Amino acid sequence: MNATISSIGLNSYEEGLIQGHLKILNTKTRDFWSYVGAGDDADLVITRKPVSTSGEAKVAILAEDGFRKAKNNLYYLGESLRIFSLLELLLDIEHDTSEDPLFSSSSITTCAASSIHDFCAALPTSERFEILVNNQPCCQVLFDQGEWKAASHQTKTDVISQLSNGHIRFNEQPSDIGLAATLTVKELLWELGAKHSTNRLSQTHQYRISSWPLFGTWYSAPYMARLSALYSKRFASIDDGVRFSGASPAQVQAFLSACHLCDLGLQKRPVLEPSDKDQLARPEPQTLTKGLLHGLRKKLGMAFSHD
Amino acid sequence: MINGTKILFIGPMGAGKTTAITCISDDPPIKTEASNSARHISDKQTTTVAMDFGRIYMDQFNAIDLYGIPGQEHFDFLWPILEKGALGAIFLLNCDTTDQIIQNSLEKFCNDFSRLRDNSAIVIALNRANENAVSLCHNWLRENNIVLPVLMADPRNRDDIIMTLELLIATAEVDLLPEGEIHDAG
Repeated sequence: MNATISSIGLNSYEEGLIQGHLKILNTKTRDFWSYVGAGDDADLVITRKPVSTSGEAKVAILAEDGFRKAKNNLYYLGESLRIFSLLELLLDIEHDTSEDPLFSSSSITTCAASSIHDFCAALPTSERFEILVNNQPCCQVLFDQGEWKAASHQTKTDVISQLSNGHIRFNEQPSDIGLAATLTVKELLWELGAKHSTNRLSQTHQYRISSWPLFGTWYSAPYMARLSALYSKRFASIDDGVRFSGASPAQVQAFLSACHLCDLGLQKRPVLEPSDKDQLARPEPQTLTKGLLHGLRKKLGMAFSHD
Repeated sequence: MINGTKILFIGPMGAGKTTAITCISDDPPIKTEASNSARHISDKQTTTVAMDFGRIYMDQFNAIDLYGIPGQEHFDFLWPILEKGALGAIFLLNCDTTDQIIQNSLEKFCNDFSRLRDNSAIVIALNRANENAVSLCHNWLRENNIVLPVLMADPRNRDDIIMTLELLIATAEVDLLPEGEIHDAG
């Protein structure tokens, strides 16, 4: 398989260095990598500053420290472009692409949200950046009191609506708009994922999260409490989530997408068929407790009280 | 005879446990309030010295028992006794204090109620909290690999307490599902 590398902001010496390294490294990698010059249209973009790319391109930012995988499609590579660091990077990318992706397809909204997530992960916390939607300013993002937050002249609802509908781009050198940042980026990503994601997850896998979403702080709906309880306690399929929460399959998939965007530790594994031994060892449901809990939900008028 | 399931209200002194139980109990709760001799910890006139007890009746035979633990650490010998057989706990925490005290309380109660913690059967309800306090707790839990829900709740507000109970019930109901087979929860 052929794979391409491009660069942004590198000098001619560095470009030549990459081409020289590839002559040697292509005997050690699974794919045949070729350098296609300056630009962002390649499988791997090597750059000095965070950039937003279209599609599934991987981005490697030249930083002082050596090779390090950040999140999703983002890597750090030593500034000296040492051959072994580049090899490590290419092998890691090849390993990544040989695994099943978490989502079988990604929506435009989730791509935008993923880009925002990656941009925050890559940028030094001393920086601020602006998100443009269809080339119009939408909000500014800055690091404040330990987390990335957004400031905008628009309401939260309008910001989310814009981000879910348009093509986004980042401006790394915005002028200060003089507004306090009130909306956390995680809250923004959560709502984008939970309300607008149309990602498709595999039906033949089970999912689990390692942290609860922030109820009362992030957008929530009654079915989300039950989905959080289920997926935080065990691996469960999309269908399991539907049955346990009363949510639609699309809502369950959007919930899991939002968990992924907010770094809640989404994991997946193939559905395991229970063995005969497991079937025998299965405990009887505790009917008395189950009845009491059902009764309590109805008695207190809880949001989830299906009959 | 009443068939009961026990839910605990845990947390340090002054967190709002007695208030929360009063808010949702069908019977006026049985309280064991005495003059507070630890005003340096919580500036309230009285505090619970044994436990609080309230009850929510499902019908004439079934009820949920609500136990509020005494929050002062010198009563912590009572906590394992109360934890035994409990379905879960609402962990109330007053965040009108320093980050260090909040973290110490999280550590103390998550360790002392480790059976419930390990079964994800605790809901952390932050009283007088802002988003920074929520983030602080959320981050502490992640750093310590503890998977528990955190939310802001006013113990005087019935809807808030019902929301915490809803999360607790949802986690308890996951345990009642047979492994590999999930039916409609109703």
